[in-house]
Amino acid sequence: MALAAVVLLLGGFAYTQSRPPTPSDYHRTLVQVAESAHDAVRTGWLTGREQLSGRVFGTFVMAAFDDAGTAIAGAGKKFAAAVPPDGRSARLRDRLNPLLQEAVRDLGDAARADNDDVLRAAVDALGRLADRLDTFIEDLR
Amino acid sequence: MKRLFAVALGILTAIGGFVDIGDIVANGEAGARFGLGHAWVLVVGVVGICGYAEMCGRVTAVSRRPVFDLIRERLGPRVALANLAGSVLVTVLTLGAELGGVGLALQLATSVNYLLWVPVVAFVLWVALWRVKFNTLENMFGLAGLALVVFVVAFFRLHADTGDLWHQASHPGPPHGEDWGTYWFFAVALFASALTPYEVFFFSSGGVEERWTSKDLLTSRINVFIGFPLGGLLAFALMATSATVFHPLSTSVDSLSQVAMPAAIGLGKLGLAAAILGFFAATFGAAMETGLSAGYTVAQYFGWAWGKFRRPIEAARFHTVVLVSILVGAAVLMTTIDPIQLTEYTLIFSAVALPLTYLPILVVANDRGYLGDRVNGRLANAVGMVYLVIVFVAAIVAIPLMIVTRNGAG
Repeated sequence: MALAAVVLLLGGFAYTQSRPPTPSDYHRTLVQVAESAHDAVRTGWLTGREQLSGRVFGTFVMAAFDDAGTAIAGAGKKFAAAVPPDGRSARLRDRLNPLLQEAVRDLGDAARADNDDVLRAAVDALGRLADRLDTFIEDLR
Repeated sequence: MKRLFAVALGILTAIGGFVDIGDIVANGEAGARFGLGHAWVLVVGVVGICGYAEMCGRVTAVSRRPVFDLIRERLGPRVALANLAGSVLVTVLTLGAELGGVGLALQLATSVNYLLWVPVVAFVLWVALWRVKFNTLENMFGLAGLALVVFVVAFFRLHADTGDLWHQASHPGPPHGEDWGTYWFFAVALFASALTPYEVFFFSSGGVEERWTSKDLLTSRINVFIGFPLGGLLAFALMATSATVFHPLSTSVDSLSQVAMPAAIGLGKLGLAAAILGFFAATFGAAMETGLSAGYTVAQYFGWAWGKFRRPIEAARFHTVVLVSILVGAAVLMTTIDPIQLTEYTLIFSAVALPLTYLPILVVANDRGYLGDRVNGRLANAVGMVYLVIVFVAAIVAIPLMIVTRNGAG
């Protein structure tokens, strides 16, 4: 009985993992990727803003940007691994793709900014990007 | 005067020692995603840990024996073995999460990757548990953990919209963009973070280490009923600051640097330094407690000599279990699993193991053979029974919720 339950459970798990993604699955993945990207970008924006106002020290800033970078890398990996099942999904992918690329670029710019002007520009860019990701997520919901 | 000092110290230690990596992560995440929508879970969790810790303290003070020792004697080796297996598995995983938390706190202070800190922290922890006296360890990290009070101060400096926060707390439920499954997943994780099994075994064995007798019942109760709720207040502050900074930005929290951010925004560099010190002390203190707790439960089950009140050579097997637990905890982290993710998994497994811990405690606390007239009264039994039901429900729904919500991802 227990063995049958385990086999059923494993079989069900194997099926959900191996079946081709439906548009709804892909849609959910895109929401998750966009949310992760948004969280990383917004956190980068907050970190940069606090750095500009002198409220955080260097080691913390490095760790916080590292964390944001790791999060955006994870989101990118998930995004790359998902294949759009239909044309509508592909159009959504094409909308999110440039936002992710901007996120990587802007977070990198903020993390290695060597003066306040460069940092301020990067922080502004991160703020605008976070708003656009917000809009994208709302459109998907 | 000396007794008063001991009581005050005990309360402060309980406050600082209440919060660990599970509380830090779960409260930060819940605050960011659900605002104060889970504040009631904290209240439920604190009342539960107070009820059961009081039972453990009473059992220990009256019988002068640790709870786990009595569980094996009262319920037999088979039931106690199930309890032991569940507790040790969760405790060792928690130890790994705490070691990761110490590493992450050190990363915030030094920017050196946490993985490089893990072996160092594990070694220092082992040396500390081997060489340093129990009271010294407990008081030092308990008191340093009080640095987390910075989040209470930061909350007031953040000028939160208290009307909005009150609305979230008084109208529990998922906000726009979240669903009920995820809401309950976080409720279970928060509940488990307040009632982690190692806490009661450590509290009970610590009572034996400090040679409690019936005369110490009052001290034990003051520690529990003042210290733990005030510790819960620190956990609430973590949730409230996260709710104030991240929730309005619709931003989730999944790193320790994010949890620390409100302290920096509210209080600047000093606030940030205090937050990092608090994280370090809380997680190192909890790593110490989980390491000892693993040793306590295994040694008490097999009837070995145990405790730091004995010289290490007299409790060699106990110290070996502590060392092995530290090595396993560190090894889990060295797989490069994210410590925050490990903490999330640990909380869910902890929820599953809760009945194995709390049912036997309730049974022992009602045994006149051990406690005489000091057995549970009606109130204690009523609280115990209500929480037993909650604990069973949490244990049953934990794994399905984890699967359905993809570990809270929604």
